[in-house]
Amino acid sequence: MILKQLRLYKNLFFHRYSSSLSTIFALATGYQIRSGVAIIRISGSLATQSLLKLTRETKLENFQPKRLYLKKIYHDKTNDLIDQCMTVWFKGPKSFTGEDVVEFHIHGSKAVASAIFLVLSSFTNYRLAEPGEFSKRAYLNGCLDLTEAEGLIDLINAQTEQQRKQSLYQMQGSLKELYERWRIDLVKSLAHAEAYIDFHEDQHIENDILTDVINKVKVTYDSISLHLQDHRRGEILRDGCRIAILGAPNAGKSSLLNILTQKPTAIVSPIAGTTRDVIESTIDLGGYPIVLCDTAGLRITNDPIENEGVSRAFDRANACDLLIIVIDISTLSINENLTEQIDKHLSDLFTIKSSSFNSITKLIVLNKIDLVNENIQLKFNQLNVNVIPVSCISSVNIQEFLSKLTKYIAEKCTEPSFTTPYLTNERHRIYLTQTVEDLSMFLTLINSNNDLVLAVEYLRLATRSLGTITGIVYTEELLDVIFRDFCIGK
Amino acid sequence: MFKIQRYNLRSFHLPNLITTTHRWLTTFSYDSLLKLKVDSTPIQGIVKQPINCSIFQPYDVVVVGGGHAGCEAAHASARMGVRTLMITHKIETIGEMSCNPSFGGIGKGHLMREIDALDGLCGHLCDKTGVHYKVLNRSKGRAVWGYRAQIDRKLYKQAMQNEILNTSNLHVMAAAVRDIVIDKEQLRITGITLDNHTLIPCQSVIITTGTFLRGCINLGMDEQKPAGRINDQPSIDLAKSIEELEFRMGRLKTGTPARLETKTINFSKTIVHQGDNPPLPFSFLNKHVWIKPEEQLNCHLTMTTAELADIVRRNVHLSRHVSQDARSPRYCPSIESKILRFKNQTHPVWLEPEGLDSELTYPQGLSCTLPIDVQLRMLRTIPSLENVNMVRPGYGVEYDYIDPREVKPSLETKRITNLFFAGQINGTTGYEEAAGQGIIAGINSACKVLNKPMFTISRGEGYIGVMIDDLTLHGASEPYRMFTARSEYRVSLRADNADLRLTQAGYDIGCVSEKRYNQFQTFKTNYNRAKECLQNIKKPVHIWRHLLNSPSESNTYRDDTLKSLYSLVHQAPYMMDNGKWLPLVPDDEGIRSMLLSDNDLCERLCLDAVYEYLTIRQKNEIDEVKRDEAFIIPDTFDYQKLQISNEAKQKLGEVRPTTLGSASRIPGVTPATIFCLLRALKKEPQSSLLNI
Repeated sequence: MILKQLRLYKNLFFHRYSSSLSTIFALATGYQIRSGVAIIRISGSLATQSLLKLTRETKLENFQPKRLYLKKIYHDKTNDLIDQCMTVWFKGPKSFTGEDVVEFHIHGSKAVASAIFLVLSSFTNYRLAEPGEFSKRAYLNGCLDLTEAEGLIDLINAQTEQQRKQSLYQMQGSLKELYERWRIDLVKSLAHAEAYIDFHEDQHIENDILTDVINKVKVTYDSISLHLQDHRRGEILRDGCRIAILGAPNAGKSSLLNILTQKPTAIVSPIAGTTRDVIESTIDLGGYPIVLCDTAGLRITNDPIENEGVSRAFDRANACDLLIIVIDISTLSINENLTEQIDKHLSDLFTIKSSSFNSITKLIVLNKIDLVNENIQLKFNQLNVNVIPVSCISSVNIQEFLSKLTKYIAEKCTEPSFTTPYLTNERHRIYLTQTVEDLSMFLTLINSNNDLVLAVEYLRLATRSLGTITGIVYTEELLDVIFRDFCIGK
Repeated sequence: MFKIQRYNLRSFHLPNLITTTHRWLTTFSYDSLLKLKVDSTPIQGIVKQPINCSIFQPYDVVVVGGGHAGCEAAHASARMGVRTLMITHKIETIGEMSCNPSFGGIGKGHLMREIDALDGLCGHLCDKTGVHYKVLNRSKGRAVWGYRAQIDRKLYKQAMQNEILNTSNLHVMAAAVRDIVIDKEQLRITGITLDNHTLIPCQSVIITTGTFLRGCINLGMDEQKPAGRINDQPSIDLAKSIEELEFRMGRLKTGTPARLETKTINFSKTIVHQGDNPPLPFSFLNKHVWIKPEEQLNCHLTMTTAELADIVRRNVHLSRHVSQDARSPRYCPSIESKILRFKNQTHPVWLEPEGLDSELTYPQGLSCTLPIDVQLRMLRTIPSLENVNMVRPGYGVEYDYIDPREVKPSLETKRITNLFFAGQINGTTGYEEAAGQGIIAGINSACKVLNKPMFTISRGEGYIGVMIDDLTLHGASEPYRMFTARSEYRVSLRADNADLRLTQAGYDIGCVSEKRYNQFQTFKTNYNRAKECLQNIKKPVHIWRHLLNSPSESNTYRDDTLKSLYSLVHQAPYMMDNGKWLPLVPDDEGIRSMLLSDNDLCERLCLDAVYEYLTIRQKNEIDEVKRDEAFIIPDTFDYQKLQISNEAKQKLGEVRPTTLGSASRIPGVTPATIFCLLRALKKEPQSSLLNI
């Protein structure tokens, strides 16, 4: 009896709080979702909003609790169709978490899941669930008994372990460095702003410190926004990995395309400049969807049509995830260092339209090895790993080329970056977007408003959002910076 | 075998006393016990140290120390209605401001407003003893306004002593405490002994001895003598007893600058800083301070020169503090460390008045431990101090402090039941930090006697909560000082709304007087009525523009979005311009006339509107924190049995967090660990997992 009362009391107590908690969402079926069906679970007092908004229904009465409905779901702003899926909702407290719970049983595609995540994170008071948060809420709301909790702990352990692995430590060097730099910049800016607030008047901190902060934040803001826009996030798996084939005229680009597409997609002729426009074809290589673009040979020309083709080739190449550069090996001198010659050839090619493609991965194909002396083949083992000699005509080394290409694409698709919307990175993207939004609020407020605290609060929020990805920024870290950079007395 | 019962001193029975004091019976004669009489009449004022008496009359709460923590603790405990005794070395030094002659500042001012909201003393006393009131940070937004005032030392001390000696339920005794007495089996306080071995039985003890625990003064390299404050005795025995109980302790350093003779300062070479007009009071109870704006004293600013830096650098080997700096704080406690650590050669020096009739000036920013002759030479290099007379040299103090991870958020120690530590002894610096802990310790020691739940303030509720949470979770590796940067909920925890955050809770626990509570209730009712009224006046934006006569945008596009007057009052150009929006408030329920007559109310409404959006955003988080704080981890909880990483075990074992919320704030503790903890907590037999 007493126990029952206690429980009731506890439920009442938590109910009071839970009504004011954020609504959380996550993929309930785990992050490995190359599967038939994946379930997105949403829990919280505002959960049913998502059901109505995504399905474009107006009345909740149209959905009976605990019953599955087949619905089309749409982006709430752009009205794009996202997926057709089963939806169900459970009315709290008779649900897993004890709160209102909505589930979308979507197709197990990363593209669909990430599109829905995007929409959900834009709702007010919605946020991505922390690991184990559903279970925690269930437990707190008295909906989970001990045995159930026993089983869940392993799952959560596994989940957080996976997350830790997928976190910054496992990232590719460049991305890790980038995030770390933003983090350091923001911590420093925030610490300086905090020092200005707390110590400016009695410890004489210079007034221009705030101008420095604003400028630094602007730089960080720009580079995070650029980072978010720069990559066609979410599109690769929906639209395929984009690969452009580049090279000087008559190097054999179209022949390579035809080998890859296994049909005469492009006209092949010994006449330089046969391909003028960008030729696209979609293929499947090792299970990865690929959009291949054959381009006009790169050279300086007076022919306006061919010139336009060259420009298009560059434009297209810039938007690609991977470049295959074809070089006619017979144009290289056999007696000199091949690597140096290749580098020179590349820079000659790219400077035609003053590009460098530094940030794009390149695979270099030395074509027409059937035409050269066998002596040169002894030098092939000195080549860089991204260079592969082949012959399109006699199909020499083509298999090796294909396996290397597949490997590159696989790397591209598993590399945790924004080019691949793996859901763990979707999480990063949500927090980065939040960071950018808060930074922009900071910049607006600090320029228009007299209330410095209000502006700095957004800088704090931004730092915290970024901290969710890169590691939480504790006050002690800020104080370290403050005391290191300013002379603060007793 | 002996079960110690809680005894209420108002109905004190001898049999109870016999069980509780069983251990003493061997030492003390039965006769002396019979002499014991509990007086039920209200107590107040000074009580003499007993001579030839082995057991003195019992008290509910004994406060050791009469500094800023001790005064607030004793007063709070007495306010709660329990018999309290304050023991201090000298009655004359109760409420002494032993370092700077000022109260408040950024962050510190917030603490004072919170203490005041709980009916504490310092804010209210500063309103009648200040000589120069200045709100810092006026240009940076109301959330970080720092209420600050130069205080007349003498007047403050008098006012404090007057208050303490005239508080009912509070006795004051001038004596030295030798030891605390504990029941070794139950690890529970049973009393204290004085230096003449007199026993004073009591239920709770609050130790607020500041720097007096093995305090040691440093003046140059040669002079080093034991003392808490110059000319005062340190408490060595007490330190030993505390050490014997195996509390983790550390040593900290602080310093104070020289005192200068005011008439030998050439103020014409300084920048004058005048007090505010009108000066703003600290206390919610006061509308004005005691002093007329024009009668306030001035502060003066001067800067150190390269010459001073040179003298310091040449004499650094003579400074004990600097030469011993093994684990130095990150900020600069002394001018020596400022010069050594930073390239800039000039540092600000504030010349602060010590009081209305004081001959002395306090040079803020010049704490140092150099020998006397070097100090004087150094001082005289500063513009305006060329001919200065040094009345007293600056000195450093080294003292023992308790690792604050030894105390719970209620400030009760984890080792000994009913023993509380508050103030500088917990590793903090500053009067306000001490007072903030004092009031919490005072309330909770009384709660223990009255069998009430512990009174704690969470990080989301106040700076006092932030301070105690930081201390109890992270310890103090350097003297802890409050900044607004320490609070993650800065826009919610403002000086202006401290009463709305804390007064109700304070009243519920019993430390807020009816007088304050009634005033608070009146304010809150008016405030809520006015806010609701403003929120309900909704009109399309273009109508508002027209009504408010907005200069630039009045003729631009039509905007039909409905907005409430409340959402507009804080926006420039209407902000604080009450004349503009007040006429738009309907007067059918007398709200407009109410607002017209109460400028404070208008201001607070505007302020709330400014921070409204972010406070609502933070409220979710604060609620989540509160919910986790409601999960109590029992004192005896064994972390070893959890299936978590050894690192997490070690961290949790070290800190021994008292709630699930505090456990989750320990760096390195993962969500998985917290869930493990949560699960294990449910297995605990205790039914009182929830701290409701």
